[in-house]
Amino acid sequence: MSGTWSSMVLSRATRLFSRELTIPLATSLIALAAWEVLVHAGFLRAAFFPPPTNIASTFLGLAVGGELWVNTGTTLGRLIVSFLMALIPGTALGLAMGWWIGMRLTADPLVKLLFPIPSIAFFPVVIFYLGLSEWGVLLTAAITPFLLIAVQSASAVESLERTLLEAGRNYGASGRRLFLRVILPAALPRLFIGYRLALGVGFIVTVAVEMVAGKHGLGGFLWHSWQILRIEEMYVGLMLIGLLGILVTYGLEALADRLMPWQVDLLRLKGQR
Amino acid sequence: MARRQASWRVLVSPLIVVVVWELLSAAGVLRPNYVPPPSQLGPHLLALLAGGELWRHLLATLYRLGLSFIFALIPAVLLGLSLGMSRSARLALEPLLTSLYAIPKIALLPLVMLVLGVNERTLIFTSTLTSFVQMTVSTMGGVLAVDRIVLEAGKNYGATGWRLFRYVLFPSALPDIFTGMRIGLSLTLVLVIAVELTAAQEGLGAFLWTAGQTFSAKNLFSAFIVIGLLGLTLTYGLERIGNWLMPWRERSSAAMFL
Repeated sequence: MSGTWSSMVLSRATRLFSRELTIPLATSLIALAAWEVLVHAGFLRAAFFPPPTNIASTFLGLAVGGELWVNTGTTLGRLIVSFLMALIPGTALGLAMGWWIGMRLTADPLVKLLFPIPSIAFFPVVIFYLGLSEWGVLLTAAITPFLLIAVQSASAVESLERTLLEAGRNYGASGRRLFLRVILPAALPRLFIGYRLALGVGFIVTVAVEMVAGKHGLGGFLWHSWQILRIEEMYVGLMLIGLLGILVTYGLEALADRLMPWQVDLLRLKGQR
Repeated sequence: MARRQASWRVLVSPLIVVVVWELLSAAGVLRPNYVPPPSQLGPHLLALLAGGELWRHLLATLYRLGLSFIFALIPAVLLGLSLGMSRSARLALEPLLTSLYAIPKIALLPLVMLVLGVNERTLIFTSTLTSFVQMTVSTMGGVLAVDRIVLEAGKNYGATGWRLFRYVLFPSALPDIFTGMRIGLSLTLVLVIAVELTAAQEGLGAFLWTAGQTFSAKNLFSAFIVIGLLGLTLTYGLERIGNWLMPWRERSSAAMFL
């Protein structure tokens, strides 16, 4: 009996899984095929929309050359470094703002004042002082993520349940132990929300700055290939930026699911995606 | 949650920053050519506003922002609602929506410029796309997040079809739709400024870029302040309006974010 039951569950699970997978896959393939056919039939201009097969072969050619991977690495490196530049001070400031009322009264208005400023607007100001240097790019990409992480970390500490803290204290935890064993694990899921959003914003700013400043990276590659009208290469750049974007947007979420399986619901903040 | 702070307290630390900034300038630590003191910046900003130049740029930016938002709003909400309610539509469009959502929309600018040419239409279209994608995804998320219990209760009270949608589903999803509108506007502002930095003659971004390139610190700071005020107004103003329009929604601080 149990054997048939479990096999029924299994078949239902595979059917569900296959539907979740086949429909998106089928529509993408149909769209790509339609694109290819429409170009060859002359309905889509190949100058604007080169057929997917051409883009694929251009990609293979570039992939062998290695320049493409250097640009991808540059963008990824900038993203990681600027994210760390935002993460460490942002978390520290945010936790302090959540914990000490004096810190909140001083820093909170400033952070809340700067945080809604469109991130890219910092770029001309930053390069006014630092010049068009690598540090200028990194700093610009770090500012808004830093503010975002600070605000979110502060609210993570503020929204901790008082009972949790009291229980921790009653069991004798104080100071460092209270922080490491009670506050941090309880605040971690909310901190992660901030990290995820910050990484997304950081990616947008990094690509935008690379395009504006023409400083290599995938954004620079994209802009350059548009300027010299190598359209297939432009699509390859766009594709890699998209892949990196998907990694940034959904990768950290998947990581959080694995690291903190008990807090999955909170991380899927409704309305955010 | 955080206690409400007295509103005057919010002004204290920014005021201290301004005073320290002024004092450092007076003491000669900050050179006015690099960091103009507030006492010079204020009159300069007023003069720019009085001269009308800054208004022209502000209006150009607002025009782009407003137009793209209006173009995106209705199609995005309609599509988001349909995607939220139909599983097959959701699955079919998922690859497209996922990639569009994950790509920084500024990366689409070269493609749009290629097809539409380098003109105002291109800028508006790219901005519209930014608003559209964000609002579609948020609206869909809002419908998906509607509490099943609320939906069942509505059905048990006899609501079906249009009535169920109008009185149960739509009001429940409205806070998320509104959040999507606010985030969409913020992201669009980032995009408009970014595009203006390179590819436009008018607009606050163009003014900011020119100021930086011509080493005019006063213009740079003035433009930055106006852009900052625009961002602040959009973020906090819309949040206020949302709280006033939809008193039933939860006021989560996380919803404040980009």
